[in-house]
Amino acid sequence: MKKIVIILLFSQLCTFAQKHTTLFIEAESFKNKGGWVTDQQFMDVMGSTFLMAHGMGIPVEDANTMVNFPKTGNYKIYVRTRNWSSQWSKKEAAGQFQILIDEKPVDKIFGKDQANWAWTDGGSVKITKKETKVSLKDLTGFNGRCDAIIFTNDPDFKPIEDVNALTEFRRNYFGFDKNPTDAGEFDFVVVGGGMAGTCAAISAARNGVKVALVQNRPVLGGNNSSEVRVHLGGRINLEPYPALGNLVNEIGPEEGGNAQPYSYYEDDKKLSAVLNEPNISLFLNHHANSVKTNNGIIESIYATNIETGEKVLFKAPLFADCTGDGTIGFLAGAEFMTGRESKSIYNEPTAPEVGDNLTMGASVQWFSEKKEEPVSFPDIKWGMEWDEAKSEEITKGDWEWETGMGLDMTMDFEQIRDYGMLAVYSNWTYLKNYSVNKAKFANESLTWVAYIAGKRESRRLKGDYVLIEQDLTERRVYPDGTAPTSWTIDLHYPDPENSKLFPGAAFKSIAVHTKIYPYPIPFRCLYSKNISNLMMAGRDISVSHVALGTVRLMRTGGMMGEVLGMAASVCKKENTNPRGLYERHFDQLESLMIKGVGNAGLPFVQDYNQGGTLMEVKK
Amino acid sequence: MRTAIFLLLFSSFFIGIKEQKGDFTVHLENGQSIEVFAIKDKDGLLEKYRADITAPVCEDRVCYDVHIAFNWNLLGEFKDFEIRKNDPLTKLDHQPFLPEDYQKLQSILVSRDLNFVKVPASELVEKSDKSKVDGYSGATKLTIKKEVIEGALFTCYTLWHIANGAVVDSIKNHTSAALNKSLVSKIIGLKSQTGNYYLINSLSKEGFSENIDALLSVIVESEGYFAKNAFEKIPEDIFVTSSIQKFIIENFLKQDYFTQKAILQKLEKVNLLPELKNYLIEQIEAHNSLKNQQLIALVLKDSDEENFQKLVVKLEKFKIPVSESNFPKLERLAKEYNQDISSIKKL
Ligand SMILES: Cc1cc2nc3c(=O)[nH]c(=O)nc-3n(C[C@H](O)[C@H](O)[C@H](O)COP(=O)(O)OP(=O)(O)OC[C@H]3O[C@@H](n4cnc5c(N)ncnc54)[C@H](O)[C@@H]3O)c2cc1C
Repeated sequence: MKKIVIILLFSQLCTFAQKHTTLFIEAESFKNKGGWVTDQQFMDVMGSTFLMAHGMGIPVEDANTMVNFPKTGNYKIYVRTRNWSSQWSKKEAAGQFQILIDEKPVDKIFGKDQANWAWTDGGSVKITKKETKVSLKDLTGFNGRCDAIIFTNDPDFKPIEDVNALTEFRRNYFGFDKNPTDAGEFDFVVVGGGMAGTCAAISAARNGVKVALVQNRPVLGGNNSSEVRVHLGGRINLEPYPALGNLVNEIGPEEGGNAQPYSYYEDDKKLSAVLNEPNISLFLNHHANSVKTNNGIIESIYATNIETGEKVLFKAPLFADCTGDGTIGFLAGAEFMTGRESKSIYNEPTAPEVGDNLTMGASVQWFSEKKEEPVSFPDIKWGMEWDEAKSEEITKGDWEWETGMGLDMTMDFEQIRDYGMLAVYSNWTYLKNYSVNKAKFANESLTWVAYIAGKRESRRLKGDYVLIEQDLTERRVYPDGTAPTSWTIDLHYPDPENSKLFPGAAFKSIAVHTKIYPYPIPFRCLYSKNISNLMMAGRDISVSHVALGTVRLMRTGGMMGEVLGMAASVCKKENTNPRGLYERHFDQLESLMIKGVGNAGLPFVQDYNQGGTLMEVKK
Repeated sequence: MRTAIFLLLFSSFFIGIKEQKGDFTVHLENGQSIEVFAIKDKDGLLEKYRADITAPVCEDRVCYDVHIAFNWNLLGEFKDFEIRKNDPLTKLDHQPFLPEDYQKLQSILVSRDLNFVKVPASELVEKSDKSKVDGYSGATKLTIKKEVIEGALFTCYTLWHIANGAVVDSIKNHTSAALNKSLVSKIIGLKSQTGNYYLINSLSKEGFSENIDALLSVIVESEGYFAKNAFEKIPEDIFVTSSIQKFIIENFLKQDYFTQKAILQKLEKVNLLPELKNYLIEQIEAHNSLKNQQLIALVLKDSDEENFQKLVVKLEKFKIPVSESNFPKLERLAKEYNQDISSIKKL
């Protein structure tokens, strides 16, 4: 009896407590995003997708959503945001914005306080209607960002700052983690929809495999999408497997060029190729962020919808990590490598005596367009110190606008991307407002700056074999050779001139090339050494830093994807894993590679950006 | 390098054979034609090709005739050019070429990695009414600028297309028609990948037979995929000879996996020496691959009892499964030679 009373009492207490309302609103779930863009690139670090006002100097259109308040009255408001430019400048913040409640601004400007992601106290607001419109109003056009908004009338409520605890809070609040949506059963789950992942999914599907393709952006293509705008490079249809690359030819853009207009990258061609495959279930806007393993075998992975926060579960006997970052392998506990290996490890002539954390960098590419009339650009105060010597009098930032070498391409990536943007804006404000040649740029308008930065290198997952420089230069060909890599060994370093002007923080790079004969990448580099049902294609395969210099090209990665899809079909048929395939069924993979998977009847359109080679080439 | 070009540049030697009929005529895209002369060495063997060229070029509405002589090697690869002493090439506004311009022209004419030569001539210069897309096409122009001689864009463009155009195939054909053993040796002597590929792509069946020893020694020293491609091109008949089969025994292991597969494919239709058959049995590996199945197929092909027994021992020892297509033959022979193959698995 007593027990019951206590329980009753307790529940009354709870009802009493529930008189307070705390609403948690994810910015990325806003119904109408206006001109704000969805940025999920750093969610594994700072905890969430956020909205960003990427206006390239012109404030973007408001984002808004309707919020249901159980009760009207006074609420405290907290906004999770940061002042991104403050790590380089103490002057006024780059990205500032307001919150509007039914079109009336809250009495606080956001984005100008703390440097790191944290809750900014927005004071108190009076909510007069149960259905209230909440808007984000960009004030600067320079990448103000909002992760989430809290309204609370609980006087004791303190927003949680610790990222893990906050994630826990979100989980409980939205309940998605308790009931993840089951995506269904698949033969093969491919994570990452760049060229490598897209080709892997299509190739598997055409070979009779039921595939889920999980991609964390709204478009396919990765670096080759209109979001990053890097053109395909390398050669296809090469010895020893001339049919490999037919799929790359089929879905790859017809026109070359980095940082070109949107249409050059033919996002829709890749998308419709995937949608045409009845065997593929496509999950766009899904970021894979947790992995369940058992004894070195991945049982399932979970992905979060980058807009709704919903959690989705994928189960399969076989997985492919085509994330570029080796994220799935990392989460599963796969062995991996980063930075530069020292000479002592593989005896590579190009390796440094002492290993370090230098990777190739990431790029924020950009271009301007000439208008009929003069166009102004804000005279920003938060930019880097600039002068004639630093000024780059150009209208397009191509691959060599590269930065972040020496930083961590996963943990420090927001800083790397932001520094890339900072360099673009600092140069542009100088050209437009101060340069001795500013008249030349009067009609130029900065119309495209990437906010999805292009990466070249982060984690490389370790396979049964690690491909090294001598394999390529001495042409040590192995019987399990698959997709041929043909680009030069192309290694990037900070540009010495730019480094002099920006010590320790260069944003431009140089490339050093060594030509090779097309070299078939061993199959043993395409699956994890210790996670037995994980394959990989693209730039996260099992190669040394030096060997990554050639294999990272997207036509090559696409061909690796073709091979992965074929391998998935052999694994399915023989009920084995990739190592089992290598040891016992490799002949079947060889036959499939000889046959190819793409439409061989199409005209060859991949003739741009093929790169130098030692091979005898037809003119 | 610099001095070499200098010498050519100021060489007063310029054959006035413009009116003469060459060994063959090449028609250019612009409707013009050039007379190409085949030049022989002191032994009467083809040495190179040469043509005098007069090409009309306009740089920004200023037009003039370019006079230049081109030399190509036996394979149609552009080598170098000569100009008349008092008739220099010129740039915009009739500015004569400087020594560095001639040097740059040389590097352009021999290059295969240029982008501007792929652009249609009408799109080389931007039309001013396209201001809307200036940002990008302006950038394209920038990449072109890096590749060409400033003020001589159309000279570079026109001359590159003459040097690397239809004339190349005509030269190759002319050389092919003259291919004999000495000329083949001469081409092999060039020690160039282009030369080697030229040979395997141009030799007739008889040509291959006649030069097979020389070709095999090229193969042994070759790089890249030449060995594989060469074996693919060598006519099957030649694989019947015991000399090439012995060559295979001696050199098989020095070849990469893919060349080995190409060799095995060529052996499918020819009779094999017993020692080659035995050798092939030894090459079967524990690790399964298409090569293994190729080897098994070759051994099974009219195998005698001794070969067959050896094969079965090998297959059993390494537990090598046999492909679906090879298995019926294995069964047939097992029956014929009364061998127990129950432990051998079918793939
Ligand atoms: C500026 C620049 C210039 C370059 N120049 C060239 C060139 O000229 N030619 C060339 O071929 N290559 C070039 N490269 C290199 C090449 O673009 C990369 O190496 C290449 O993108 C590798 O392809 P990928 O498919 O492995 O990765 P990506 O293209 O990065 O694709 C991976 C995809 O997976 C998604 N993803 C990542 N993590 C997750 C996750 N957890 N869940 C779901 N999805 C996820 C990403 O959003 C991305 O779309 C360049 C790179 C840069 C940055």
